[in-house]
Amino acid sequence: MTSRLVEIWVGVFVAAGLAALFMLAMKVSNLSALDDDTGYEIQARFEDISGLKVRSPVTMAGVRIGRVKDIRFDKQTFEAIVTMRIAESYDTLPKDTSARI
Amino acid sequence: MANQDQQQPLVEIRNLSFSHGSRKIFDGVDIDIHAGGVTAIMGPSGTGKTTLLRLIGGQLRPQTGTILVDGEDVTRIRRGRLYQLRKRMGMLFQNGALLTDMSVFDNVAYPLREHTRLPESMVRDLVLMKLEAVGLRGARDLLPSQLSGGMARRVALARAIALDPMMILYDEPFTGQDPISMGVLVRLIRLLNDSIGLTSIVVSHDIAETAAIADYIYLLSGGKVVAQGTSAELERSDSAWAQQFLQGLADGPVPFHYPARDYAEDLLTPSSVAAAARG
Amino acid sequence: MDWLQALGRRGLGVFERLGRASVLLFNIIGGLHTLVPRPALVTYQVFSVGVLSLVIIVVSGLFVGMVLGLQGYNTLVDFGAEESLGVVVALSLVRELGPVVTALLFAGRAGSALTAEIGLMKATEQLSAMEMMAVDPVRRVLAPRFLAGFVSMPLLAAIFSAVGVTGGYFVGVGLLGVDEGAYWSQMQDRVDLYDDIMNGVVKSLVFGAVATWIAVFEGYDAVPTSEGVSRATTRTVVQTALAVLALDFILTALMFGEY
Ligand SMILES: Nc1ncnc2c1ncn2[C@@H]1O[C@H](COP(=O)(O)OP(=O)(O)O)[C@@H](O)[C@H]1O
Ligand SMILES: [Mg+2]
Repeated sequence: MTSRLVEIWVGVFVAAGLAALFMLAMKVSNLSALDDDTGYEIQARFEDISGLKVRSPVTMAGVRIGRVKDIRFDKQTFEAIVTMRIAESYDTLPKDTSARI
Repeated sequence: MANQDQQQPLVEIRNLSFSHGSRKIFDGVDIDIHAGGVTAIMGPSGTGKTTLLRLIGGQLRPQTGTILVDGEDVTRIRRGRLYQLRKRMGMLFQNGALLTDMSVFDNVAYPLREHTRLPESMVRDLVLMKLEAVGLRGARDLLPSQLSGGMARRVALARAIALDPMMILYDEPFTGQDPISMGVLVRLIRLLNDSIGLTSIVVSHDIAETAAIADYIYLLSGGKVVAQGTSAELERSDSAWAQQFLQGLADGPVPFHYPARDYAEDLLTPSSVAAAARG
Repeated sequence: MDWLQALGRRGLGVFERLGRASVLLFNIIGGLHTLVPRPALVTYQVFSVGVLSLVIIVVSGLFVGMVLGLQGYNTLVDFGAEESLGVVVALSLVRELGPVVTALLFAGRAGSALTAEIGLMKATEQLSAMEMMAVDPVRRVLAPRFLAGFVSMPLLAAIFSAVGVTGGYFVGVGLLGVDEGAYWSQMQDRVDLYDDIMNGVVKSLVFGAVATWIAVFEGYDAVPTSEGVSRATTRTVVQTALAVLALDFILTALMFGEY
């Protein structure tokens, strides 16, 4: 096996591995569905977030429109402050929208 | 360097004791190796000849004693210094120990490529020179698996001298050789020693061949040096062991009397168990 | 009393080996920087560890994915939830089967070969010869192999999972008539890049390090005889399998457990 052939094969292997990772990210998972850098953030306060976690989906009428970005606790009000990032395409949420868990 | 003084030996072993686990291999051994000569270390299988070479090369650490190599004590030396020192030692392993995944050429080039920044054209010239010295320039493209035992050992010899070391350690260079390659090796060791001013340590239990090229001989048995001297001095020695040794040597060159066979059996009897265990 | 003593001796032996293996790992990692000027050493090892494992990984991945498709469908269809087949196939592969099965196959295909190769190099005094040539075999022989295993494992696992998802697709959509759109979109909806894919990659990085560590240690520590090398090879496969399964449990508990 010449070293050139070895190098070509290793190149093919690494490319295949990276392509597989790329496919897992784009086609299997939801990376393509929402890019974290776009869209805008809104905050909501809850008395109890029960099972909510960072990166949980945010849905409206059952359609996912964004993800939970951050969860904090407000010492003054004893409430949870949930920051959500909403996709750009859903920029027409009414001002008085309320959130539910 | 320390060997500017002619009297100062290149390798000076003092009060060396070494055990493999509970098995005592050396017990208070003193050995001097003088620069520029061929020193033979002889003894039956399993006396620890290979172990002694590994101790000199710093691969094993003794329990007590010092081993000065060119003025540096390899038993206490720091790792970096030891590696520097090893670049100036060549070791010929019992079976050659060539790297099996590369050709003869690459094997000989290996130390050059590892330790020098020579351009490839010069590496090539040097490798061909060393291979020429052992008569295997034509075998450069073979793989180690395609070599006979004797050829492999000669390639290993070319590799051992690739960096022009000050000293070469030969571990049983004659064992298992056919008469022709044996003769070739004997001449080669002497020739290399004299032509490029090496210091050679030959470990062996082949009496005739070793005595033919050795300037000074140490006989090891039971973890101690039992006799030492030039072959002439050993002849005058009153050590029974040495006498036996020399009788064997005297009869060695006469092949059809088979006197060496008796002698070899004598030599091998006390440690036949160890020899069998070593396969 | 005798069995107690035997137990104690074994226990001490295990700790002693673990200690030596840790020192070796430490030395290997400390020697990795010496590979920077010699990338060819690593390339060659990625070839023998990674490229030569490709066939078994692709074929196994395909079959595991197809079996998941069949089994998942048969279970889900009872609940009328066969549209979720993609989720079942993808999550099983990405979280568990990809990293774990790849590591087990790696132990059999590449780990055993590494142990045998290094053990034989030791038995034929090649490692000693290197040392005497002032070349550190830990850096020249072990470090490139360790790095190659560490790098190859996540790539192999990703290939395994990707091929498996495709195999599930062939069976689910192609043979059993699950809706193609549902297969992919449900999958995308429920599989998370960080929680699932990245955690799977982290698992296979850990498995890659551990599997290669075991393989090179067993080879380097082998009794330098044919029998010793053969025992070491067996130990590599057995120990890697046990270590991977145990670590998988621990990692899964850490990653996916409720905290
Ligand atoms: N790793 C080891 N562990 C225990 N004993 C050993 C080891 N290596 C060698 N020995 C023992 O040390 C003795 C000397 O070995 P060695 O130096 O190879 O002998 P020689 O080269 O003179 O035939 C032998 O009896 C051998 O059994
Ligand atoms: Mg020996």
